[in-house]
Amino acid sequence: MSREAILSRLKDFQNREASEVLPEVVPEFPDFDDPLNTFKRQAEKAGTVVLDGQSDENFTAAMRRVLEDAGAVHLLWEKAAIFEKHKIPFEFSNRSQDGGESGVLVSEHAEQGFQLPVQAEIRSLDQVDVPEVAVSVASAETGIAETGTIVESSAAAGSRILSVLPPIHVVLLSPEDVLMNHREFFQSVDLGQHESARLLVTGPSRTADIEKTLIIGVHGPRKLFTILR
Amino acid sequence: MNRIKIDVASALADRRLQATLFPALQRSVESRDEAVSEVENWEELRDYGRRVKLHTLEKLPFYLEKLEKNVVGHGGKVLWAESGEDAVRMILTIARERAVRKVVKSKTMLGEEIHLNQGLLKGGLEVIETDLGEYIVQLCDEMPSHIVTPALHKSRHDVAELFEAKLGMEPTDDVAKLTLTARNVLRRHFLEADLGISGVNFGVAETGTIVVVENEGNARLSTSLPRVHIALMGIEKVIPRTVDLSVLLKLLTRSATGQRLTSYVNLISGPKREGELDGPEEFFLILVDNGRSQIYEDQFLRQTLTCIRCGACQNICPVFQRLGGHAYGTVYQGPIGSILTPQMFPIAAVEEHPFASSLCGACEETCPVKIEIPKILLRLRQQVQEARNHGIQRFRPERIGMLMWAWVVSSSRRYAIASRWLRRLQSVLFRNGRFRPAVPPVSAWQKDRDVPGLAPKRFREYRESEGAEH
Repeated sequence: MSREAILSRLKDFQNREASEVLPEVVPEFPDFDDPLNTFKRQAEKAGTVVLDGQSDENFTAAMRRVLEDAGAVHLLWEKAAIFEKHKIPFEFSNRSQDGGESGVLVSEHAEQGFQLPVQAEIRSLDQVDVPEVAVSVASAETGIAETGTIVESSAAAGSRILSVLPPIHVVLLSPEDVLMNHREFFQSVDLGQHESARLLVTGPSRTADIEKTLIIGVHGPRKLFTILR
Repeated sequence: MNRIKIDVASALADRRLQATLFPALQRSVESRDEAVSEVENWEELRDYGRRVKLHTLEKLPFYLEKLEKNVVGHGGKVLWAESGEDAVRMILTIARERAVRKVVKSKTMLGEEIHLNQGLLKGGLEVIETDLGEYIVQLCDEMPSHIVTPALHKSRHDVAELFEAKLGMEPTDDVAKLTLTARNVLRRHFLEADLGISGVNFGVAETGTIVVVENEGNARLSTSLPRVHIALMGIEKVIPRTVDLSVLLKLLTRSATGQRLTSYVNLISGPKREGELDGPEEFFLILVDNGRSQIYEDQFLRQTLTCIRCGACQNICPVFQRLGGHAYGTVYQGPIGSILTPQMFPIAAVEEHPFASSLCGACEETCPVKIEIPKILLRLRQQVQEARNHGIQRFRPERIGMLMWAWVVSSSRRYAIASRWLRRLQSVLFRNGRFRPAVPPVSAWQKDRDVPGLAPKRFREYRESEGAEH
């Protein structure tokens, strides 16, 4: 078996005693007086549009701004928990329909016509043509101020592709979920405990593969909004 | 055995390459420098990164088994491949058993190393590269010319001509339009593929998580949309703990592209879970040796395996800046390629490569995990020479010359005397600043080199007379 062959070869070559011990103290990472403000600044540097949506009024305005950009009629929300977590008033328009656990929430809006409460419908994922849905809305597990990064988990969202397939992606972030830096994040995160995939997102999809020229929006979204809520 | 020669002449004569290459690399160096300069404790981070990687190597079997155990715990399957051919065979078997027809790939240098595309094509599969640079390189049936930016050698005109010929696109010089065209073509492939193959930047042993760093979103799609995901990982890519990622990611992204963080970092722990709506039903991790345990044998050379493939040494190397990647004729190119390739393959096949360096040391200075590339190059040069001599110490004129040189420069007094005499002889030996007597064997050496004359005064003398005024 190759497994045994590789391992036994490595074990043969291994030092008798390990001289390089695993460093216990992780070097310092920057701290900030106002992490939320740093988050905003760094996220914007990376090309994210950060909007305030802490009051219902601001949230409606922020979502209108998104729809203005998208000209969209469809919003694809991750699980219903997003409404609860971010205290967004919403109503099911098809309460009777059995979408259950395997469903996603879709709401339709006329251009610039976002208003609260949201009228959402449960549909199963295969009933939704995800690539054609212009906007997906997800909840960030955490934000990392140091780099303006948001973290999405497949356990919370229920989906991996939601964050990359549509041309516009919106992430709702609670200000209290913003961590200082990457050391804080990686020290506290329990990878793989509940989710099959976590994604660190820092700005929209990009490439510089042709002549090192920066182009925004390759396979993922061309626009990334983060709404503080 | 095919001996791979470095094709210097063609690279230097290629005007398009020369016009594209240097400015592009220069931009990479500048953005890396800027991103690094804002990190106050960069040196401390480098030390930490190096120590973590060296420690992991010392206990490599332990961490590999731990990684395996935890990946299996998430419902993933782990396979071990001795060679590239083994890995390709494994992937073909997985694909056949599941009636896979179309494969989407995100960037993997290991895939290039084991000639995966050719293998899969031979096996009757359709293979699509989805990273824009890799896609371009695949369309023109070439090899990547850089670890991070595979199509670095292509100008926008080259890409436009290629897309016109292969995709029937209207001629354009607009990079945004070229990118959009690729996006639309590749979208369809993503949705149709049954198997996604990705590389691995880090494998976290304590959690059984693989880390894939990217900017385009193609890795996320390749590892999420198809019903099977296979991750290809070199055995040296394992790291002990989640927290080590904080430092290693910082070192990697700032060194590679000068970004504080790339747009996406995928942290994948096995296949789709219960309650998740998408993601692959099956996840395979293939741990590939392919010559790595050979490198592992020598405790000094072993540090070669700490490389995190950021490409910074390529960007800064004065030789690479002039030649580009293709001239090397190997998958791994530039400084890291010149130490990696001779150790993975029989050294006689790539015996020119350790010599393709001025030993200026820029690579070691920029390396985020402080690999002592120049020292390793010297060791490999020694190995090449020993192989050439068949282990017998011969007296060559070059060796005598070098011994004399070493004797002279190892004492400041001898050096001063020698340079004084040489300066006096200069009027005889040099004409128009060029060394005159072109007699063998010196003439062979002079063919490609200018020998500048000595300055009229020693630096010390200059300082004592004129420098004293300042």
